[in-house]
Amino acid sequence: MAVILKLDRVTKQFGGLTAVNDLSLEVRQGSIHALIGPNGSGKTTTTNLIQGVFPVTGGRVLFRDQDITGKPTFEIARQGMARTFQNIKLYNTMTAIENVMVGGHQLAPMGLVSSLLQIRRSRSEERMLEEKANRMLEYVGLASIGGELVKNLPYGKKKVLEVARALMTDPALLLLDEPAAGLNPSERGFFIDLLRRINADGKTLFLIEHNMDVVMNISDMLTVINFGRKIAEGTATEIQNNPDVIKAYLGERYKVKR
Amino acid sequence: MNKKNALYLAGWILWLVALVLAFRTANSYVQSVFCMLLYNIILVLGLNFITGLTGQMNLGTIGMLALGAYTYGILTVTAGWSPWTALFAMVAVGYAIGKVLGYPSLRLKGFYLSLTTIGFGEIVRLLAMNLESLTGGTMGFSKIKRLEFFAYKPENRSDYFYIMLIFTVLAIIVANRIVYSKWGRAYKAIRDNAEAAEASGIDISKLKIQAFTLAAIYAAFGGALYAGYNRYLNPSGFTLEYSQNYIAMLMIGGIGTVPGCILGAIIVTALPELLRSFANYYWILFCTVCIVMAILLPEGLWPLIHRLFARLGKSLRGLRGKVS
Ligand SMILES: Nc1ncnc2c1ncn2[C@@H]1O[C@H](COP(=O)(O)OP(=O)(O)O)[C@@H](O)[C@H]1O
Ligand SMILES: [Mg+2]
Repeated sequence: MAVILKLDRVTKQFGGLTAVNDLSLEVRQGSIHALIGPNGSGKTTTTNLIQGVFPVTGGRVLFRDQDITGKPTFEIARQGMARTFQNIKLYNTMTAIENVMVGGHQLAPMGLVSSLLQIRRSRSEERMLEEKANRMLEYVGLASIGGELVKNLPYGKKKVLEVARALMTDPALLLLDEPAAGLNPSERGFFIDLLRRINADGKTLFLIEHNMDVVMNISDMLTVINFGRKIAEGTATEIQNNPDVIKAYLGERYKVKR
Repeated sequence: MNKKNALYLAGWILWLVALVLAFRTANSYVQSVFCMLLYNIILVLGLNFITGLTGQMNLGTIGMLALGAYTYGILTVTAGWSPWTALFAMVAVGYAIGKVLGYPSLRLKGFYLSLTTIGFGEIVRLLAMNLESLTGGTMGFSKIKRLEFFAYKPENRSDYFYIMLIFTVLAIIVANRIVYSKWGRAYKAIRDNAEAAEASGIDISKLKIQAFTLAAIYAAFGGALYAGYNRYLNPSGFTLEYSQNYIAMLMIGGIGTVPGCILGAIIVTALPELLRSFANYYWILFCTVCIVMAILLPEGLWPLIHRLFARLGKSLRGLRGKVS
């Protein structure tokens, strides 16, 4: 299978602190790839480096065979990479559907002047955005709350709404930073189904997650990091039996009994 | 057109008719306040793009206005251009200001951006004061030409009201189309969460400069209209407090919405006239009103009024339902 995302010896230093250390990994097209590790091990930083939120100290990031190191975030996003955030980042003064529609801004090609002058075309563009946003809301199971202000939504719905907004950009790769954190078991079950569905519809998922039920259930491949360094990589079973991983992160109870 | 849009249109037309009627029955002093209101509306609608929607502080509005006003004056008097050509040169003036002020806004935030925009306004004022050969310095710049609309030749200031009204309506229409479109949403997204907006593929730098440019074009047009209306410019009329006034309009009326901006412009334009008897205490009163508003109604008056209207409409419909 083709590789959609490749990290080549990526390093990030914040002053004296090395948050990501010489990290290489490959995400295969169409897979669900999980990145796990203890708190503070550099997972979120890795996501930020992939999407160009801040520059790498060393190494390269390749996405769809193109070197995207040092490119601005919005350009990387336009090449087909979307994300959700560990701490929810929605547009709080807007409604749910407006939040999703903003995700489609770059798909609507009209410039400011032409959208002022060509009234009919800009109306149909707006309709296109609205219809698509409605489809996305339906896809993630939020069709009924499109008109509600985001700030009034419960936490679990906000998490799902972020996914809808990300999907609105038509991504090939979706980065999810702890999507199931803080969800109750039934919400979590729904989320696992949703991620499976998104994956089945052809999108590659790069998933950061602490909850082992989620990770071990759906990941095709796992990369484990500790102190910014890769300590293991493999399938769920391989990782669960890896002594280094058990010592650094999982603890004895996750070892698969034979 | 659906029912809701028809209702909005009816509301706008009603408002316009009321405005014209009130103007016609007013004495010449009150008429001058109405004229002031019109270019204030244009300016605050412009400021709304950058400060209201995009969330970038701009305390340089008066500098943008002054640049537009002086350019219009110099082009029509010194260079002998026709007023219409000079007016449309305001697009270029606004574009240039937008680029110049937009770039710092990419690097500076909050407090520092406020200072930069204050600095911009002061620089324009000092230039107007010291480039005497061009601007007339502290003696002022006079005999500025007015726009004429076909056979309509405004003889005095009050006549100019109707010409300014046409441009105000145009400014309102354009603002409406931008605010309630993908552009308005994208600006608000930058204000609410820039990081998320960028991750969705929005070019924040480009849109911030765009919003600054829109604000500057609106201000330059407002300035040109003011220059034609007053026919006389003096640097002492372009001080920081006016820029603050525009922020106050935005805050009081309702950040982000078009009717809110207009409401704010009406209140802040009318208040000094209504409170004239308080003389120097006026500022204390005005500032108190602003602070109380900021605490009690951080979204401004318009959302409150909007909700009241909506509730009224609902109960009216309910009533009608019972009768039939
Ligand atoms: N912007 C930043 N500036 C300085 N240090 C940071 C920054 N972001 C993260 N760090 C540090 O980098 C390390 C890794 O953080 P992070 O990537 O958030 O870990 P994780 O997501 O795995 O919990 C932590 O020690 C954190 O304090
Ligand atoms: Mg994290």
